[in-house]
Amino acid sequence: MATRACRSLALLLALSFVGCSEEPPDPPPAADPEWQIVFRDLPAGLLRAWGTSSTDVYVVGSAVGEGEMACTAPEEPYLLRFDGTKWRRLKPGKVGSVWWVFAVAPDDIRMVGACGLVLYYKPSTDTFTRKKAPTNSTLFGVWGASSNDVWYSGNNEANTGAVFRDNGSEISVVPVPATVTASTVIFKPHGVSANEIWFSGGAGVTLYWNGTELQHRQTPVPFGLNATHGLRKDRMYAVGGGAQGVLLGWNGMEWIEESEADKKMIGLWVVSDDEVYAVGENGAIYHRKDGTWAKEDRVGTGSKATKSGDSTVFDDYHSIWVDEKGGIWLAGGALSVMPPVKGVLAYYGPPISKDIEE
Amino acid sequence: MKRLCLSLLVIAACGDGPPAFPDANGFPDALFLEDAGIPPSIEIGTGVVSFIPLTEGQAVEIFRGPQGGGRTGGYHIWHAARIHGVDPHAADLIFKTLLPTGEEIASNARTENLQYMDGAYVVAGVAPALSDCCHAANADVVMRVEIRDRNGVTAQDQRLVHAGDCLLGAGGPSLCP
Repeated sequence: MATRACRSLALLLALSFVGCSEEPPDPPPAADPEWQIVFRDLPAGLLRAWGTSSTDVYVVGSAVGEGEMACTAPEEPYLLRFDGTKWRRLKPGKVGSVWWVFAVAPDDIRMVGACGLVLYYKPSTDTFTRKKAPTNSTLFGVWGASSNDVWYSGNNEANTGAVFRDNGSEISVVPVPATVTASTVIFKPHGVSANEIWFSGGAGVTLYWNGTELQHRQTPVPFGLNATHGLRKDRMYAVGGGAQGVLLGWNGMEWIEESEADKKMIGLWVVSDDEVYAVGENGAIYHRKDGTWAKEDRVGTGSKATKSGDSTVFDDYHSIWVDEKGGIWLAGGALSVMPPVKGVLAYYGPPISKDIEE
Repeated sequence: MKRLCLSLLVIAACGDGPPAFPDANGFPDALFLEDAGIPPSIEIGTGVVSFIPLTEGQAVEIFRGPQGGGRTGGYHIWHAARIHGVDPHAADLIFKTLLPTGEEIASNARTENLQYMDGAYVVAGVAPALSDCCHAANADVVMRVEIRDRNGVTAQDQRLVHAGDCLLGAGGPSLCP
């Protein structure tokens, strides 16, 4: 019955168009923002999506086949650039996994990763310069105030947290306070100015650069803190904790635990003092507004079912970035595997291209 | 002309194929249940990309995760599960590593669309992070998994295994005193 009705409707539509002249096409309707899975099940895990604007976005990820703590990789890392219209794969060579990206100047994009890797990318010439921090371990984070004042963080061969500073010509070690327990990796830096920089690390450690020295500001939790972010030095946030899941807020004096039991967050982005997004394990997205944290639906929830289930994203997110138009970019994959694999990029905004130019 | 072609395509699409009857969650439910009618069961195992069964007392390795940087929070034992007789869509799973006393030292709760692989639904590559990997190093531990599908069907399994050392890297020094 339904089939017959469908055919009749289609025939009616067809007949109604016969003999009609071609009228000008209707203008396309304004595209509403929506959650979309831009990439999924990429061979490499995606670790950071970030840009200078919504039309200049970088996505960095792992190098497939890279061995544990390796300084060589059989494949190039997964690096993508989006210009607002199309995606293009960047080719830095077989440099190993890239964990983080940040623009320290308009034509100076820094990327860090495996085996002390530091990449200088110059968009105007589409060229990479490779440097190496004095460590063979992974650098997990980068932030800089200018091309001559850039900070990298990770660990060293002794598995002790390490911080490095790049003056544009030399990368040097910045001593971590002796009160920081050994075997504590330093994950991510984030600065609000050249002399106000926070670092998150393992075992509940945060560090603060006050322009003169790194200070140890211990949080009340013993867990690893994957990320820190904020807009001013006396109102910062930090997330991490793995299965325990912690979310901490800095009130200008001390770190306060704001978490609830099931928040297992890895990435963080502060839009304003009171609006914060966090993402984490198993496709989790959290949104803080008006002083309250709420869990949002996973990307793809309620989508059309297929043989292998619907397209809900259950992978882990490693990072989140909110662009100047309110577009939300989430990067992740299977993050426990070394190197991370099964990359996923989810985006909230008007529909965008999913094609990659090699 | 394009519209005429589109309309003809619509006609072609109005075939006599089997209708789908989505349930309240939008899934065509029973159409996609590979082993409907089989009693629910789950088996704990190990493996990164596929299920590897475990025997009681078997030796297992402790692995350092990509961001492992110390004995707390950066190490895990790979957990996997092989499952029958449950609804595979958005199933809730909890993987745990326990001391023989029952004390929990790692946990990973996940919701997954279960993948059908080699005659069973399989979840692999789950990495419950050890709160302190030295608590498991060179010791007997219990690997445990529980599942609850969206219809409330449950199953569980556990296995006593013997964990290896907590190493800085493969072949590296031990992190434990």
